[in-house]
Amino acid sequence: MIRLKILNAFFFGTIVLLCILGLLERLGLSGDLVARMLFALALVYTLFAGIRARSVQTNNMFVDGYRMTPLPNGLAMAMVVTGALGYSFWPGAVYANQIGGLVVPLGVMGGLALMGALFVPHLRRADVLTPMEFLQQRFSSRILLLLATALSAISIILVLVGQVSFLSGLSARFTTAEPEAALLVILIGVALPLVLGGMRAASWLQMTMAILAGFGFLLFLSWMAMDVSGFPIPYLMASDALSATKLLQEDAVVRGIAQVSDTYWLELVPTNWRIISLSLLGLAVGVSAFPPLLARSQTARSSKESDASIAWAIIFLTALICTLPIYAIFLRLQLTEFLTGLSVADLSRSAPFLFDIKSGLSLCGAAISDAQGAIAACGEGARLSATDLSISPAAFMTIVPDLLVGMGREIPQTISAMLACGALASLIAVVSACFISLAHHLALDLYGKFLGRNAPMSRVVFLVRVSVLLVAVGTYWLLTWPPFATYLKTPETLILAGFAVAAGGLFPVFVLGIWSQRAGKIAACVALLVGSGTTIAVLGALLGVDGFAQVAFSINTLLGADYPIAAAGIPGAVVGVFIGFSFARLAPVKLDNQIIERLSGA
Amino acid sequence: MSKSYWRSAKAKIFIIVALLLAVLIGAPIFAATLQPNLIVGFPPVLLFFCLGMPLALLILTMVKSSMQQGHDRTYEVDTEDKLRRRAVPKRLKSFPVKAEEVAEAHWPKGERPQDKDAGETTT
Repeated sequence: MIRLKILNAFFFGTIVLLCILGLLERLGLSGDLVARMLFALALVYTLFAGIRARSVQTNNMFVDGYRMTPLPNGLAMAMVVTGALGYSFWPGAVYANQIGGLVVPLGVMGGLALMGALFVPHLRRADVLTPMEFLQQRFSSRILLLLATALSAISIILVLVGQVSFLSGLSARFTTAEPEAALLVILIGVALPLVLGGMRAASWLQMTMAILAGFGFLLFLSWMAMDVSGFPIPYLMASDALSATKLLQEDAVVRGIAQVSDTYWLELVPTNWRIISLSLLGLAVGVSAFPPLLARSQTARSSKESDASIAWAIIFLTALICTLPIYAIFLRLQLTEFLTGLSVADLSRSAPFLFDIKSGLSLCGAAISDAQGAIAACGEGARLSATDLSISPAAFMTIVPDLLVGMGREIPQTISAMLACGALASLIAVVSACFISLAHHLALDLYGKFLGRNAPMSRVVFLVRVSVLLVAVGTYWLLTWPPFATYLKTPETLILAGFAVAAGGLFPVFVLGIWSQRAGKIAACVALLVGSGTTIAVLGALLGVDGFAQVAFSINTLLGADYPIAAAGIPGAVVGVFIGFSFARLAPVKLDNQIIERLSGA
Repeated sequence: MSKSYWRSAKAKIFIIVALLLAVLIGAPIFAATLQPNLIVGFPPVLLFFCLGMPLALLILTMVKSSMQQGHDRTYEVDTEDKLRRRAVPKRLKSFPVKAEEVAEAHWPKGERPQDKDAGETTT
C-alpha cells in the first residue's frame, strides 16, 4: 500500500509540476529551459528510484523482496513489454500500416496472456530467484543452466540493442548532444539505481517511468484533440475526426486528387490473414518466455497476485492499443486538411518544413531531398493528397511535433518536451529490465550456480552490483563499436528477433519444466538445442545471412516466401516442445527433487 | 495428490491455451468476415482489434486465474500460497522474516556455502 501511496504522490506531483511549467512558459520562461527541466525531472525520478530502493538484502536484489502488489507490478510489466518500441514505433506503425500496425502490440498482449496461462503462477510457487534458477533446480543440470542462460542473454541483448536504437533519433531531434554522449548518460542513469537496489530499484524505475511515459503520450494527444475539435478528450472526438477525414478524402476523390481506396483508411480488413495469424502467434510465444518478464512476474507476493499482475498488464496494454489509432486519426486529419490539393511545384513555398525535416519522411514513395526531388518523384504539376506523404514509423513520434509546427500549429513547449520525456522514460524502463536480468545471469546463474557453487550469497549480491556496471559498459561499447553497426538491422527487426530466440529456445524448456513431470535433463537439453538451432537457422534465412541460403529455400518452399520474422520462433518452439515431450515419453525420469511438488503448491 | 493435481491441471490449461491460440490465430480470419458498416463512427474491424481481441485475452486470463484458484481449492492447496502470510518463500526458506538467510537452500545438496548473507539494511 505504501507503494501505491508513493505512486499516487508521483502521479499528482507530476500533474502539479506540469501545470507550473505550463504557467511559467506562458509567463515567458524559455521553451528550451522547460525542455531541460523536464529531462532533469526524468533523471530526478531515476535518482529517487535508486535512493528509495537501496538495499543489500538478497531477495530485494533479485525479486524485489516478493513485495509487488498486482497494480504496480502490472504497470511495470506493461512498461517493460512496451518500451521505446511501443512508445515511439507503434503509433507510427498504425498510421503507416493501418490495422496491420496493431499486430505487434496484440501479439505482445497475447504473449502476456500465454505467460499467465502456462508459466506464471507455478513459477512463482517454485520460489526461485531467477527463471534460470528454476531450470537448474528442476532439471538438476548445470549444462542446461549454461545453455539456457546463454540463450536468454542473446534474446535480451537483441531486445536491448533494438530498444536503445530508438535513442539516436530522439537525441538528434530534442538535444544538441552527441548521440554517444546521450547514450552514455542514459546508460549510467539507469545503471546507478540498479547498483544500489537491484530488482527493487528496477521496480521503482519502471513504475515511475510508466507515469512519465503515460503523461507524455496522452498530453500531446489531448492537445491534438483540443486543437482539432476544441475538446481535450481524444477518445470522444476520434470518430468525428475520422468522419471529417473521410469527407475530405471523398472530396479529394471527386476533384481527382486522391484514389478511392484512400477513403477507406483504417477501414480495410487485412487480406493477408495468414501472415497476421503467424505473427501474432510467434510474438505471443516469444513474449511468454522472455526472461525479464518472467522475472518481473516473480516479484509478486503470491501466485494469485502474479496472475492478477498479468491481468493488470493486459488492461494497461488495452488502453494503449485503444490510443494508438487515435494518434493516427488526429494526425491524418491534420495532414489531409493541409496537404490535399497542394501543388508539388509550389511545395518549397507552401510547405518548406517538409524539406527541413527530411529524415523519416518520403513523398510519392521517394525520400524527400529538395523541391526538385519532390517534383521528380510526384511528377510535374501533380497535386498532393495525404497518402502521398509517408512517415517512417520509427521516426513518427519525433517528426509529428515538427509537422504540426510546420503546418502552423502552436504547440506549447511543455507538451512537446513532455512527449520526448515520455519516450526517454519508456526507454529507461525497458533498459532497466534488460540490465537487471543480464546482471542476474552473470552473478547468480553463471557465477553463483555454474562456476562458484560454494560462493556465499553476499558475494553473489556484490557481483550483481558489479555486473550491472559491466553490462552498462558492455552495452555502450557494443553500440559505439563501429563494426557492430554493419550488423545492425532495424530496431523492430532486432526486437522481433530477440522474442523469436526466446520462443524457439526457452519456451520448450519452460513448458517441459512445468508441464512434464517425466522430462529429465536430457530431454530438456535436446529440446533447447533443437529449438534454438531451428530458430537461429530460420532467423538467419529470413535476415539474409550468408550461409543460410539452403534454409531460406526450404522456408520458401514449406512456409511461403512471405514468412514473417515475427513468426521466426514458431518452428523452433513446435519442434522443441515435440522432441522434449517425445523424450519424456520414451525415456521418463523419476526426479528426486521436490520442485515439482512445489510447483503445485503442495 | 501431485499426480492427480497435475492431470486435472493439464486438462484445464489445455482448454485455456487452446482458446488463447484460437483467439490469436482466428482473430484475423474473423475480422475478415466483419461488415463494413460503421459502429459509433468507427470501422468494425478497428473496434474488433482495439477492443474485442484485447478483451477476449483479458477474459481468458481472468477465467484461467479463477480456474486455477478453484483447482487449488479442490486439491486443498493454499491459494494465498502460505508464503504471503509468512512473508517468506516456502520451500527455499532462504529469506526468513528475521533476514537470517539460510544460504544452503539456494544450492544443490552437499554443497554448502561457507559464508552468511550480507545482512539487511534496507529502506
